[in-house]
Amino acid sequence: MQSVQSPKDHNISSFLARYNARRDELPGARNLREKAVKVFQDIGLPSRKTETWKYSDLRHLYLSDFDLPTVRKVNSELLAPFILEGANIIVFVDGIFSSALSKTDGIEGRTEFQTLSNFLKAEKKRDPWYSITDIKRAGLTALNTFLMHDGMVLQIPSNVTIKNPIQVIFLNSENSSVETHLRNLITIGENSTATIMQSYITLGISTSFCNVVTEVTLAKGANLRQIIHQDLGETNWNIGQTTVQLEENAHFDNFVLSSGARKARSEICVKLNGKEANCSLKGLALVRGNQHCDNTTEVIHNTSNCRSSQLYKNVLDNKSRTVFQGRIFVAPDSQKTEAFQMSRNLLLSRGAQADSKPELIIHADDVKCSHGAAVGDLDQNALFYLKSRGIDPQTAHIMMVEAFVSDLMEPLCDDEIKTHLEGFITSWLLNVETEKMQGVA
Amino acid sequence: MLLINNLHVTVQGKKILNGVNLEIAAGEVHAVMGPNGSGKSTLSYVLSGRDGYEITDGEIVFNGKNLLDFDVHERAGEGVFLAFQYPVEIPGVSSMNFLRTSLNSIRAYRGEEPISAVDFLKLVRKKAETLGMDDKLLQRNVNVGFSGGEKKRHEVLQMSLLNPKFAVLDETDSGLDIDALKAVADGVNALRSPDRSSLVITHYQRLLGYIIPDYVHVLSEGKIVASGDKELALDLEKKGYSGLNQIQAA
Repeated sequence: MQSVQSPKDHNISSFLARYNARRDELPGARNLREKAVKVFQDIGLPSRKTETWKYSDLRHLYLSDFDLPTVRKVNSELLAPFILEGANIIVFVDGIFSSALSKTDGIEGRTEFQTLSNFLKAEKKRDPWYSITDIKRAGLTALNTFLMHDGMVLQIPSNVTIKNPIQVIFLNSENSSVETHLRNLITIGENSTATIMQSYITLGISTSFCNVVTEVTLAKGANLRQIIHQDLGETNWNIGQTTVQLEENAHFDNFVLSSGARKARSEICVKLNGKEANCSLKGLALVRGNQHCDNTTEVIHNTSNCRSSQLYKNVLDNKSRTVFQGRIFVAPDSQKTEAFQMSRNLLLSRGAQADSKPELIIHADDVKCSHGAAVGDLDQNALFYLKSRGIDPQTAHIMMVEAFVSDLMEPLCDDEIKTHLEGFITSWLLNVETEKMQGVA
Repeated sequence: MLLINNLHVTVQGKKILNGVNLEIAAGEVHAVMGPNGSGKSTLSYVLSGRDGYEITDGEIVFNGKNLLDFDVHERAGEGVFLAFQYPVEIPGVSSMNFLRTSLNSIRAYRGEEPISAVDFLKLVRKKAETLGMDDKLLQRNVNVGFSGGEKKRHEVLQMSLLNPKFAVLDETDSGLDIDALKAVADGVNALRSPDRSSLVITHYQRLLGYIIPDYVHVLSEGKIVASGDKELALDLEKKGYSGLNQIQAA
């Protein structure tokens, strides 16, 4: 008699079947993939019973069917509105690198860029390749590890300053419905500096699932600004997990702007491993309709004299939902640690819901740590003040929301990126307000 | 210019104004005095159109139009200005951006072209200088970190920029030292003109020594119980609001 599979087992076995079918065409890292398969069989997919996933339900994702990535041609003109002026451009279309759309010859200073598939093929001899990602972290990370097929590998040597930002565009083409498992590897050499912006965008309508794992290592004195802008169409899924490792005096600045996807989760784990290393994590979610956005962070102070700060803000309209889970871990003897965390939510509608879960685990005694969370709506006194000066309600709302997010934007010193993101935020707000006005009319 | 006729207002079901009648002609400055809780601030909020004030009876006619038909920002466009008793702090909005957006909104309402950034800067610097305001203050966020005097000067600066037809000054003297009071009063007096009127709401006579009103009204329990010239304010100062009955009898 044939046994009946539970839906959970069915999901696991269908993902494994995809691996078995593609095993031979997936590039390199054979041992690591096999190890990840075992972990995946063991821990399965995250569900709401998993503590770190209890606010983000992915059942609909598991039940959806997706295609395998195939090469699609995209007209470069369609990309123009998303491109950062003066940047080096790396483009992936439906999870596959497109050399035709990319422009990487301007990356200076002996920097090596290659695709993950080329990197893994070349690394075959040295398998198992060393990964800093904890594959036991979540089933989706394990899944990414055995199914990863492409991504960006960027190796910046020591003492190099990359002046122009590097923009990596992950594009879902029109009508695509693909499942992609991308892996990005970024290493910044000693005393080198770079800015990387990752943009997730959709052309037309697509219903894709993008599962991205990124690894960043910063050597002594290295400096990286990473900006992630996720603006996929509202019928896509986006799951990202980033692990960052910092050595002495290294500095990591991260800003995640999430405005797209049906469900998006951006998880980041930063390990401060060298003295005087510091990181600043910032996030802004602009969500509406039935969108769901989850920002989960973990900052691990593994040694003394490191600083970390986290500021996450969410603007929610309609019946949207946001999650912030932030953990600070201070290891024993990590004295003189400074670790701060703040989460603020602005509800533009009664139907919206924001969950905030801070978690501080401190094993040292000479530390400065704090956390806070706030939920509120627009200040009615301030709105009245603006309107009493002739400013129409729509403009007054936009001014107030822009004011709410302004302290996230201040430290983005690069004018081009700042202008790009500010312009985006304003047009998002204008859309929301215009729809409201039309709704009333 | 402004006609308030039998105005009745309730706030959360509680009657605050009980039939206020007031007529202000162009060029006149009227003062409304009254004890705490008499409805002075309610009158200023009703004139500017704030939510939460229910008009149960009466009308407000402004330059021949029914003022109650207009939203808050439209009233500002029509030329009504409220100088706040407690100017609101707005973190994240720079004062310059606020002033320019405000001026251009009013200009758009009047069918005028927006002012250029350069012209605006020149204009605002000139106005700030006249008021003895450091224009560095305007680089900051709206009213954030301003002293009490700076906030009130900022109100007068806005009034001067927006050039209203009718200004309501709600307890503009509260929290001001004598120098700031003089500077603010000078600013208001400089704006006096035959085609502009003001309503000065105050608890004390002090301000009326600097902004001389044409008429003084006493508001008590939501009604105007006495009207007169500036001498009425002096009488009130001597006898107190409890001496109102005597004044009325006189």
